[in-house]
Amino acid sequence: MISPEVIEKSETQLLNVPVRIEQISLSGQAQDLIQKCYSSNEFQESYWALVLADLNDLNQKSMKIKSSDSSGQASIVQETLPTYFENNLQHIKDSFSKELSLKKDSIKDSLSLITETFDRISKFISELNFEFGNVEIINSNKLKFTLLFPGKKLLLITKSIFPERIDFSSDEVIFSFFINRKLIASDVSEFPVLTKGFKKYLAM
Amino acid sequence: MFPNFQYLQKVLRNILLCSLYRILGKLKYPNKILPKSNFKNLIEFDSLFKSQSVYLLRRSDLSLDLTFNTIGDLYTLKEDILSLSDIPNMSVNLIGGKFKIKHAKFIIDIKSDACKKWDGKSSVFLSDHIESYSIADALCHIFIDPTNIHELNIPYDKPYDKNLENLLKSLEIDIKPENKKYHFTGKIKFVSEPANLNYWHFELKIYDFKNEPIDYKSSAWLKELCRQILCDVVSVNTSPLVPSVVKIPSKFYKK
Repeated sequence: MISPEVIEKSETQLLNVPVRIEQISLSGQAQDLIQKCYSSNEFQESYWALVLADLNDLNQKSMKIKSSDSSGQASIVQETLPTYFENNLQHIKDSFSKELSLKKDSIKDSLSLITETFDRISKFISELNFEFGNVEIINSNKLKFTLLFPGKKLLLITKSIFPERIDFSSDEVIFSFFINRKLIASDVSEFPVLTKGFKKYLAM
Repeated sequence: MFPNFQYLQKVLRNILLCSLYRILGKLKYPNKILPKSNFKNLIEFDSLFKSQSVYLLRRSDLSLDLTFNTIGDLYTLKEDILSLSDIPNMSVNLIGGKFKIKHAKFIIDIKSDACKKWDGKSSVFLSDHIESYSIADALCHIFIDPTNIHELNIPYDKPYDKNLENLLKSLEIDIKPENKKYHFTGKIKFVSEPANLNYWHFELKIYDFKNEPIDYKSSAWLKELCRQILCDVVSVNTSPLVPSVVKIPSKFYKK
């Protein structure tokens, strides 16, 4: 059994270094990791979903859990997130809070959906090494991130709160990339794919 | 001779009424931004744009900080400033000719005849439209630099269908579908749309591969993509400041 006390204690240990865990499964290795994280010898398979949910809830700031492997055979991948990650996340969270307070009356009905969407996408976006970031809530149904990078590179990412209404999948965003205000590329992409690809581009 | 007399009568009536209304303070609209009979039907933006720097102007009824984002040392237009009906066919005013920044305070009633497209030949009499506008100072000016907008290519897809295939064949456009989709390129353009009370009115439009205003009524996905790209491009190429306005030579608008 994993008691809430143990989870709380372990979370602190876990957050000392921002980590990303991908493809955690119920293999022996995964159990070892969870036991290590939670300092518990009583980890049971049935608590896997609970652990995942708790990790997601408790580690919004620094941990991204992509998925578990249904076969139970996948290996564990840990990746230290960039040092700027938490600063970036805080930066866009501040911008988001400012926008929320500005538009609180007009977004009452979709507030939870807006916040949920922001939480989901902001962690990915914070992995990009931007200089300045801005968040807009548009017409109560879209979130727009504007990110400025060195060399007057500007990335605009727009995520609909109701993607199904415009025939988009839940992860799809529209992005536009500019250098010196000139449009270089614009398209639809899934945001995990976009941020991963853009990170690669920035590192080139 | 009779029609000319009638016309003269109307001109005189207009001069007298406008003078009277101005004395009484009932008319403040600038006569100089109206279309004139010696003006061209349209301003050819392509040739103007190629010959000198130009700026287009929109007004905002919100303050600077509610109109623009400040990102580092860069301004971007807040997307909420553009309403859904603005995109495409966003209304703007060309400055550098007779339309000055101070004229942004005049708002033409969009339901009135004053807002209808000028027919390109008739004289417009201001006295016919004194109830068709209002005045409100703009809290912020939005200057649009068309350099990175005009003639910009926009990629878009259309699902395969037999009619479209036939059309492409007829137009001798050699595009083959990939994964049951045609990949096309549209263009964003500023187009002269003189209104009865404002010769300097332009619209920003998206044109399809046939050089016709894009029709995306059938696809929510396409509509959203085109709309968003246009919003993004406009947002990044606007500023509350204008470096300097170069005068537009009369050859671009006079016959």
